[in-house]
Amino acid sequence: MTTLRAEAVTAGYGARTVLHDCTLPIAQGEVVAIVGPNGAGKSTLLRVLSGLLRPRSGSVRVDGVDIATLARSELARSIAVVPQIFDTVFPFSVREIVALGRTARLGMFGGASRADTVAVERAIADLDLLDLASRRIDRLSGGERQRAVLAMALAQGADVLLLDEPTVHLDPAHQVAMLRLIRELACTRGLAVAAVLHDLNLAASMATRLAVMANGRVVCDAAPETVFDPDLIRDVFGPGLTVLRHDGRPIVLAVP
Amino acid sequence: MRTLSILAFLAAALIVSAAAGILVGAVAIGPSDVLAALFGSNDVNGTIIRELRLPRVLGAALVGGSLATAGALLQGLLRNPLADPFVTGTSAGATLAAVGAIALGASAPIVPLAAFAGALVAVTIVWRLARLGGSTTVLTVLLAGVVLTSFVGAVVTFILVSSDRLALRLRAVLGWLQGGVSVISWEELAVAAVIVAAGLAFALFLAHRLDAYAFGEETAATLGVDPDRTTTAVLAATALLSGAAVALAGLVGFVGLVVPHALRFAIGATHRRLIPASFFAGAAALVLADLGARVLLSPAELPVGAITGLVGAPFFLALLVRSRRVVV
Amino acid sequence: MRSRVFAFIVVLLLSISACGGAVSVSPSPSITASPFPATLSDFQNRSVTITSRPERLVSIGPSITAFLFALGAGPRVVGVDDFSDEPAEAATRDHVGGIKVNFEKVVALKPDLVFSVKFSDGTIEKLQAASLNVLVVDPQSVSDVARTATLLGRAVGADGEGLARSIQQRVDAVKTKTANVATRPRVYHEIDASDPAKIFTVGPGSYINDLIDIAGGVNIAARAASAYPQLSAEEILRSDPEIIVLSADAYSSKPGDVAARQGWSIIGAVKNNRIFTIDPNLINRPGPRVGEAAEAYAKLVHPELFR
Repeated sequence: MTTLRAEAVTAGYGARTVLHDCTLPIAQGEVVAIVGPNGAGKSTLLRVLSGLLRPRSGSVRVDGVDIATLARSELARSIAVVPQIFDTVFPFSVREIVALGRTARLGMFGGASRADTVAVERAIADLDLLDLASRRIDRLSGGERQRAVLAMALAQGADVLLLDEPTVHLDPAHQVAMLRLIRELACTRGLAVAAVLHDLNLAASMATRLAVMANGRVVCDAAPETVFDPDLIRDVFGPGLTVLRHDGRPIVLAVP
Repeated sequence: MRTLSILAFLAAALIVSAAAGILVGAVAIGPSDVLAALFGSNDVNGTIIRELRLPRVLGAALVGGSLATAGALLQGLLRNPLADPFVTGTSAGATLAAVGAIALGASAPIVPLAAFAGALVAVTIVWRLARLGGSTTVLTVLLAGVVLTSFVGAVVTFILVSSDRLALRLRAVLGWLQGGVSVISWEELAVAAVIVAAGLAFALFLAHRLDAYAFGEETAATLGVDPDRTTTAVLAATALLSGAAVALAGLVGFVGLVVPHALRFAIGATHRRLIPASFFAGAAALVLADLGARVLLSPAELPVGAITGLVGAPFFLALLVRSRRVVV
Repeated sequence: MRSRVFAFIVVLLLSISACGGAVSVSPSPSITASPFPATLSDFQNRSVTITSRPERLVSIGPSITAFLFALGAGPRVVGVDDFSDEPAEAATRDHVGGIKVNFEKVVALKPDLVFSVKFSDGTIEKLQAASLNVLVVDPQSVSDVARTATLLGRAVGADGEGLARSIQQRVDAVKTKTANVATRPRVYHEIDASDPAKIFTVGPGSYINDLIDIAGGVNIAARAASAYPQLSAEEILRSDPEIIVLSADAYSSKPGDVAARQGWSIIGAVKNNRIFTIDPNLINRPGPRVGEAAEAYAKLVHPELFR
């Protein structure tokens, strides 16, 4: 069953059109990595998928329902977005940040139910944040904060999880771990995941599918094996990249 | 549970401050007489306590509470711990509207409405400026506040110097402009209390949504908060609270800034806790400031705005130094 | 023997004429000898010499103006300050400024003598620097009135002493009547309550405080620290004045407003409706109408004695 589907989306900012007729389905259990060169429209597509940008034509449907018809709080119960910016000036604790994920489900004056508390604790446990739960978020390292906002998104209890460059603040070892974690969570929680990633190899390591974008279009939407075709890579990313095989898996390398 | 004990402690602090405020005044009245007065004794002491001191203390509590709550709201919305109704010029806008209403001969009930309108316009201007975004956001907001406040001062001075008739009407306003709760009638208190209660209820309703602004408006949206509606609601609540405060006591600075800012260090940033805590703490703070205003240079009375400035400014500097990250 | 009788008669005649002079109600005969040049000591202890009868006078101070006109020197007054509205004719003269004196105007009027109240901003010095003869006259209390009349009389060559005497008599008449009253009611005279946190009243050393005393009342601020002290509403309530007096001008509160103030209904004066207004010209300044002022005030405080 397809959980999230962008259908023939054309979108842009002001006079500029950034996306042209993009279609992207994401089903439960799938991890789709959105890749492409700078300016291809990856982040814009993600914003449209998350409901932050209204498309000029086409639609985004979650479980068949057009998200344009949904109120913010309803949308938040179906689609969770891991924020790119997670600096805050206020001394929230990790637990309080994770609890923000339940905002759309709290009572009128913010009262938390048992289900809310359980969801928060589960997210904390899944992201191995128990030791850090009472610490102030502004006192944590970049990687720890990334986990915290990921937990926040998970606490939303939505079926869809969207991430924009979730590894940009992490060192290489942590990047791999983070992406593995996301892949695991997608499996165990049955999520439909879409992530914008700039590193092709990392993308290939954790995604079930790669959606390759160029000039505002989805030019290829397939398994990493298929996408890592030298011709395609050259067409999209330009010369200077080559595809090699390592341990049976294809990797892309920049060749000087 | 922790939330309840914090609020209980602050409420107790408020009651103690209020008691001190009622016990102390230009005329010495002993505690037993004060008690008798509260229960309706008919003599002069009774009148002094019930008609002069009690409204004044309650007024100070309302003003302090609303300013602190408005400060918490603004800080959460602008994601800036330096924001408050005074600093952002919201109070100045309210004051200008109120002075204008008085100069035009408006009757007493209109003045708080004018103050509310002025506050709403000012806070909306500040919000729009803040949205222009970028690293100049904070500076822009603070500058807007400085400019608005200076502008109000200039306009009032102009009115006072240019017209004797207007100056006559405004002479009564001068003391109020400097920030004073000295004479508050029960009617004014009642009207203000209603407005403040509405603003406070509104603020409590918005509290958990305001938490979602921690990472910005877009993240608030994806967390399930309608940013436009919520922002408008927060601005309206801020205007209600600061408008009522200005209508009662004119320009009182720093309470809205220092109280929520300091509380955050002690009880964390969650607005469900911060907002009611700010109300109680701000109320207690201003009751004590008014007490200081009456006692420090007795028999002369300082305007309470002078006390909040004298204490608030160095306190704020200390907070700045203590917090390692200053968003400027 | 006859020389002793003669001496006795001379002494008797002298005594009678001396007694007669002291009891006489009419002003003493005008000074036949020329009073000028005169060297006078003014209210700031400055020694001022007036060489000849001054024909062009400028008055900076409403009570000075009032006195000059009362002394008959009105025709010689060529310039007055903005606040000199008594008598009405005085306001028709050229104006030389209000709180700030317009020096150019004063000089342009070519005065022989300039009278001024005290200034702390160097105005007197500036006038002197413009080669003007300045006499500082600043009556603040009832006792200053006699001195003012006498000094001004000497300065312009009129009978100041006579005026002083007639005023004093009127005042003394009131004093005598009130000297033996059984009770002296508590009086609160409100100067300015436009800022309800800073209510100004009169204290010791002020003119109105003197009036209250002469009128047979007790000023509730009689023991205050200054002439125009500030009171809090609490203190006023506690002192429970029996009479409240307000100035009947545009700037002062009206009796109805005072009675309506929160908490004031407990004051005796409010309960018994004894809130009065008085002609501002009588109380604004200690002028030649002091006697009339004393009578007017006494009527409010002891109506039973002054019908």
